[in-house]
Amino acid sequence: MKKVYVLKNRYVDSVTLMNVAEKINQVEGIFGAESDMGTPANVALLSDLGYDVPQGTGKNDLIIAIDADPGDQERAYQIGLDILDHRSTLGGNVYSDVNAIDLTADPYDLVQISLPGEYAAAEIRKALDRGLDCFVFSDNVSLEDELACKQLGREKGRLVMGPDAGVGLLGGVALAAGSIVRKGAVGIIGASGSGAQEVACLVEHMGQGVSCIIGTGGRDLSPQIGGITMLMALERLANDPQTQVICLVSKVADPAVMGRVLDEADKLDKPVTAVFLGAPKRLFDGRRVHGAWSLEEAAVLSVAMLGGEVHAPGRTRGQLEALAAALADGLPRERRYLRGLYCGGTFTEEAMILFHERCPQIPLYSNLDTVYASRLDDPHRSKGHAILDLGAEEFTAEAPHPIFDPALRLRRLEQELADGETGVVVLDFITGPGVHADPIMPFVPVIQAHPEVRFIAAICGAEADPQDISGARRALEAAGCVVTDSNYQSAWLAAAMLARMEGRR
Amino acid sequence: MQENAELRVINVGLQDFYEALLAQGAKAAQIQWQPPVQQDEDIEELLDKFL
Repeated sequence: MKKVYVLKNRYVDSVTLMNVAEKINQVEGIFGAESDMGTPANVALLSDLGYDVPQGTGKNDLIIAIDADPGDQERAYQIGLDILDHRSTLGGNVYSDVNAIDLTADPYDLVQISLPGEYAAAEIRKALDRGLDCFVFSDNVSLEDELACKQLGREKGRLVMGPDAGVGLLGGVALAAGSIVRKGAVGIIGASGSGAQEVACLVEHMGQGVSCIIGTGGRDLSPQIGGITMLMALERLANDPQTQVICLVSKVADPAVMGRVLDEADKLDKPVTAVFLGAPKRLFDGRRVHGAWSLEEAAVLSVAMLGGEVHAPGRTRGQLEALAAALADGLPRERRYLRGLYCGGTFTEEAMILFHERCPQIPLYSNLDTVYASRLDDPHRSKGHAILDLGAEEFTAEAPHPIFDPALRLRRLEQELADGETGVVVLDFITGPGVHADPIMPFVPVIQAHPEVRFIAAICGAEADPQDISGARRALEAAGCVVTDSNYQSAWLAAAMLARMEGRR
Repeated sequence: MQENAELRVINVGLQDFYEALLAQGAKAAQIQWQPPVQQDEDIEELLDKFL
């Protein structure tokens, strides 16, 4: 029997909502459970599932919908309530509003905002008015709001990091989906979250550390925004005594805005390295800024600028080539396709750029709208060599983002493995205190159960992250997965396999 | 970026991010955020008519 409980005027964030539904679903005797805010779309969805949502339920009301025998419904509802109540009484300081905090008696440096996009701008303005920097994880903030907030921030000398900033690290504290990278002298400014995180983690891997990661959000280098945050961040790091080398990380952006950022970077006394993935080959000609063409190269260059010896991480090109040959030659002929199942948007892009460069004649498919691949007719069904960004909206509209919950990607992996033509699977893993507590280990038994397929993975994480990346790496390797030391190396290895597999057809 | 100072963060939104800050030993505050009260559409229409 289906029953709907409504809690009026109770806002709960989306990740917590999913947690509530998941926990109730695990209770014995429960046939199904949903937990959502009462937006018209959610109410319609619940009606489709056969739930009778009371009239007058609005977007500010919390719905817990349970399908169970009448005797079990109340018990399941109570479990959901317990999760919500436990979470809202956690330790620390709880306030009703940013404006309710007396910043003289109880000082803060930054406001981290992850509300639904439509509500984010009001909170950004509040924070700026109180003299605080903002880190904005929320997406779906309008371009007009982004511009207005960043202009206000510039007036007040405060940074607006984001919207849609996935990763940050300031004062040794990881924000949003960021890693706890060791402190050091490389200051990173990133318009792409996973890109900045990869550079930071590789810098740590090479024995150095980072002073900060400042995320700008993906639209900062658009003509409309004009790089306001990246330019302000450059100035901040130029004056930051802990930062000796500055590294800029982005996908290719508006040429005029990239030019303006590089003009400013050229004027600094400190060395600046930069990667704009997919940028034209002459971007850095005649500049002082040291240009890189992959995230790994940006990390290597940044460490080199600090002086001393540089040990590039992982395998040499020769070793990768030999490994590709060994892996490809053992594959049955019918297992001829590569499937990249990524959760980092920039990792997806970096891999496609490399495939396109190394094997331009081999057709690629993707769910992304990109010049490097043809678009899949249906993102839920792969064909040919397919590279997927599973963090894209078409997937996360239906399930939590794979960095918060591996379930979506595990389901897709099983689907790809059921396809007898899948020969190579590439995975990226991202760790940190703000993401899923165990994002890697659930994949280990799946990999182990499919010795007929080649698995390649890279872990983007820091040693201080709570997930034990060294242990996870050993478990993946023991299951038969090749673990590389960067996304670039994973893509390089996969591209070399692809070239070999296509060549023997 | 302050020397040796941990970042002090006010979190507005995902409870998981607040817990991640506390787990890192950072000073953190959580805002018990509620959406702005919805103006009833009928009242809005009436107001539009008369104002």
